[in-house]
Amino acid sequence: MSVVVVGVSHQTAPVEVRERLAFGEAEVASALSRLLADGRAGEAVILSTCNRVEVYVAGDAGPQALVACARECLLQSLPAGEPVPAGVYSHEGTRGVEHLFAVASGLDSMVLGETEILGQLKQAYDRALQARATGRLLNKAFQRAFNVAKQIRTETSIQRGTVSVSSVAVDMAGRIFESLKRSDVLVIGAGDTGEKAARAMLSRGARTVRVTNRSPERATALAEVLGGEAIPFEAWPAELERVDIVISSTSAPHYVVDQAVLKPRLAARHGQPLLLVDLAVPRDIDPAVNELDGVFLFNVDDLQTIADEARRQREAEIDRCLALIRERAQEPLVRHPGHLPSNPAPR
Amino acid sequence: MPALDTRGPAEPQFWQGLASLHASVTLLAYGTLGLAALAATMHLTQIHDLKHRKLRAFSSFLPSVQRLERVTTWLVVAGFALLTVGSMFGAGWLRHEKGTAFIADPKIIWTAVVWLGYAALLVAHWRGVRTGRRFAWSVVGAFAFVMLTFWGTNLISPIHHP
Repeated sequence: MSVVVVGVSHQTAPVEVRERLAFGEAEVASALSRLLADGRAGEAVILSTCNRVEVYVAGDAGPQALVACARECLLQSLPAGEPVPAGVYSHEGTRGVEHLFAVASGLDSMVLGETEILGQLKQAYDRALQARATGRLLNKAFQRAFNVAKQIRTETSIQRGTVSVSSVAVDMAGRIFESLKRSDVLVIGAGDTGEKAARAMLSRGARTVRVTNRSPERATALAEVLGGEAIPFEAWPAELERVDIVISSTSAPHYVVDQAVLKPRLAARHGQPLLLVDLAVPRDIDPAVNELDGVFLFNVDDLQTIADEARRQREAEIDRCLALIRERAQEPLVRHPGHLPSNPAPR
Repeated sequence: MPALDTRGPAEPQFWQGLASLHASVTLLAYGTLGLAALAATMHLTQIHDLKHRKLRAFSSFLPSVQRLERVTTWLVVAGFALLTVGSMFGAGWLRHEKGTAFIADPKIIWTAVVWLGYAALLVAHWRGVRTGRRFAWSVVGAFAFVMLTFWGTNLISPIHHP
């Protein structure tokens, strides 16, 4: 009896393949019951996220039979006769368990060490549990995967720091302001990068967002998307007296914010700090404003450098994480010798 | 049989207690102002690291710039209030001993200078003239001045070092 996983992920298949194989929330229960009705697999869990679609099965049938039934389940949405897309992988026995642990710990994620996947894995397991599709082996394997993910989080630095530009901007805001819930955001320019950073601020509780753009229609459209307010482009300099965070991403060929614009407005702020996030290339904000008291400027290179440093620190932890995963995957899932994972551990 | 509660002197005997209160509350005031200087140092470290985009583990554990400034302000307010109360106890003791609340003693003059310095600093801070980095440097500088001159003025003060 062993654990087998068959699936595709962002590392092996493009999004066009992943979206065709993905299971909707409503489809998971019926897919699990069809898979188990076949009789080869005794237990199953389906994990379907934007970055991976995986079918975990366990049963008394041999590994090859389990791989075959998991593969059929994974490819059920493809029309009959269509060739199997490239990028479908399978892992059996201890390797399957190690893969589950690596997924739970974020080691196999697009953003190394991210924690969202652990929540998605718990949801997938809960759905299988409610559908009565799990048994002794998968229950133990998934519970241990959650435990290993926690152990890796606490014993290694795999989740230390933030690795995306928007998250780093939010982190810097957290080091400046007591709470983002009392912070107002001004977005200058209605581009994608500004939108992402504004969303990141809002997701951490920023109080209000105002958007300004040379084209008022685009400002209004982005303000609606963000649930904020659009202001005329001529009016934004006055906002510097009130807002706490400015995200600038215009396509202007010159500085939009410089000391001449900012300095006269600082007195009205009564010493309240101001975070300027310059995501534009060429830059929108004169680097000299960083010398002003209470003004903190980060341009896209600063944020990227911080993100890269965090990523390097995380990557340096991969070997420690893998060693821990190998060690935990060696422990038997069930006490009966017949229930040991069938494959030897990779060396 | 001896009396359980003997009759005391007719004069009030709390003046030495007032001197002790003066010493202990003033010491507490300087301790609080020392904590304010510590918070201001943390504030300056956080600002420096953010301005220079340094990712030190130490500064990532520090509270935010806003919180550190708020904490520093409240510690200076508390230290200043304690210094005021401590000085009032000292003035009360002096009035009893010398018949006047103020004499030209080096340490008393020094304390008045320190008190005025912190008062000016708080007013400048609340009026927005001295905030952020400047406020933090002022708090550190004021406490450094206290530390560097406290024992010297104490030694040359006849009433504090008879």
